[in-house]
Amino acid sequence: MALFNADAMLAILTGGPWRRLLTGLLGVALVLMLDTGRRPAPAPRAEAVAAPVLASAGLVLQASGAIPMPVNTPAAHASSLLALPKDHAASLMAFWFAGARESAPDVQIAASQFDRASGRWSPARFVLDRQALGADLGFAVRRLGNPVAWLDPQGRIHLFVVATGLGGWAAARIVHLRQRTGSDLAQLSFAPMQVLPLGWLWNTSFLVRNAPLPLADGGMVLPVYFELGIKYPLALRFDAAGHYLGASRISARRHLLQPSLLPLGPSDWLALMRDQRPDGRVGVARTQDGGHSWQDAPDLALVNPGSAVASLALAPGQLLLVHNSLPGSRHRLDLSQSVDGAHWALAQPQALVEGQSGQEFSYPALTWADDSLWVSYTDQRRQIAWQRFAAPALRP
Amino acid sequence: MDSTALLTAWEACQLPLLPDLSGQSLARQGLWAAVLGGGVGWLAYDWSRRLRLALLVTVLVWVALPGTASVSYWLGLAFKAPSLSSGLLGLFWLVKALRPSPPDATELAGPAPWATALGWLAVLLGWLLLLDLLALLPVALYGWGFGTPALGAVCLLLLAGWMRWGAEPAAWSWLALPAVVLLLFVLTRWPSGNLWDALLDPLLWLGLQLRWLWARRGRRA
Repeated sequence: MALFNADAMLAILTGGPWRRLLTGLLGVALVLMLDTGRRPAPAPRAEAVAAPVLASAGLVLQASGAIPMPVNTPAAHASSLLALPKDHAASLMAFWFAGARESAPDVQIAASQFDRASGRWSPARFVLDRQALGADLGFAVRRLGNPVAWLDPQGRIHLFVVATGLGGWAAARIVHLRQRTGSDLAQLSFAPMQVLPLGWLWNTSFLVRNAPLPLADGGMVLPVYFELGIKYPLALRFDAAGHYLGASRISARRHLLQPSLLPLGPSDWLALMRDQRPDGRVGVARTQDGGHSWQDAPDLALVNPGSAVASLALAPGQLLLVHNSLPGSRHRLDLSQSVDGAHWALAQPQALVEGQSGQEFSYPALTWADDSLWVSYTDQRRQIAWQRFAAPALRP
Repeated sequence: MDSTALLTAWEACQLPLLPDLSGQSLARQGLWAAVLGGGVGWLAYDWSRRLRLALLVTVLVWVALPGTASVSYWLGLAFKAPSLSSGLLGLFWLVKALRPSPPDATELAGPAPWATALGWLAVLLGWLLLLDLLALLPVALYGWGFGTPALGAVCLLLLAGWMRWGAEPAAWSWLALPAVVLLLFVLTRWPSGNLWDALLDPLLWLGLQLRWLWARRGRRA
């Protein structure tokens, strides 16, 4: 019979333009049906979690010091702070990369947690190394760096790290991991969920640095950036389970990186960014539709010596920014405050830290936990320093 | 369907649908096996069958070894995973390598118009994706690769090729290549969940341009 004859079948399907059109359209319909049939439900509009109403009379330094380092580890950099729930034994956790030096083959991701009962940081331990990550991913990882942590609504810790391919930071990819075991530091380990697909050229040259912006739907927006000669910032959205929902480009300029997101309202956010130019200022972009689209805004008056910034909204109209404030140097780190995100002044006359010219205090991180503002930063690339501030309420 | 429902459906079609990590890992090994095996088949097409098979088995075993012993572990460091197109092309040459005798001259003849058109489209796509990566395009082309609209556009382009050349049996295998890629992609989302990564990888893109340059040099000589 003709139907069971392959040549005859092909002749039926391809003979004449109308038959080809029909078979072609059927093929297109099949592919599109298979695609749309598996699509997830759309995410709700992105709205930032409202900052707590906290009318504060100012910040008072309560404690400071250095977070313990893993044994025999001389270098540390790029800390990230994660506030923990009130029922956890620890107030917060800090993650950073540590090893012989930045980009050394022995660099791993270290972590420590601040114990509420004792009021001290726990001994640090390594929670991720490149060999274990490579084994889980199925391909080699050359170097690790820049951990950024997020706690999802189910209380699971997610970690985003830079994992490089062949070629140093220029070959960086962002790996998304989620805790594999309990969140107590002694048992904490991570399993990779995804290497975030961000670019076509072997998915390279994308890095993460600053904390995510929590959303009202339980998800978050993770600020990242591209760095291969030119630099540009991006915002990646994730749902409450940590599934990647897409990216939007924050700025059209090609000298800004390491964005830090600051909510002015549910859908009105700023991105404050490091400027790579020699006479740079803190760069600004703004979205008024929850990160769907961004517009460049005038730079802040604040000097930026090509150095990372970190920002936090304590309350509507009470915005904080930690930044290196002197041209061409990272030896002074300041805390500034603003009502509108455009005009900034020092929150306190004395610097958070000021050393001598040539010294480095940089890559700050901020979080709010246990009614306190926590700041961490790289201290001379040898350790991670921290400071805790109380925020006494304004008297009525 | 009101406008809100339409907008909701449109937004749902843009969301990334990523493959799970374990599947990606298997796919990566399989794709490298196909590409490297196909490379053997292509390079050694006129060697003795015994030698071809020995080389093929060696390469495939090297890919299949676990962990750091596998060549795909190290290729992934630099090149992540090949595209589905590269995998299928590799599979084509791998199968040829298993044949008892080398292919005849007509199989190795220069590309026909449909193959040339496909090649040029791939080269153009690669340049656009590179410009997009360097933020030189006004649109987020790579991001479009996660959505149904881009898939639909590629389907329509393929349909145009089918209408133009579908009457010629010699064109069927060339038109079948992107069709199979699209079908595999929607079923598996390999290698990365992005359509452009499934259609084209940078090594294939470079290879197409090198092949064109080599052919031009050959014609001038």
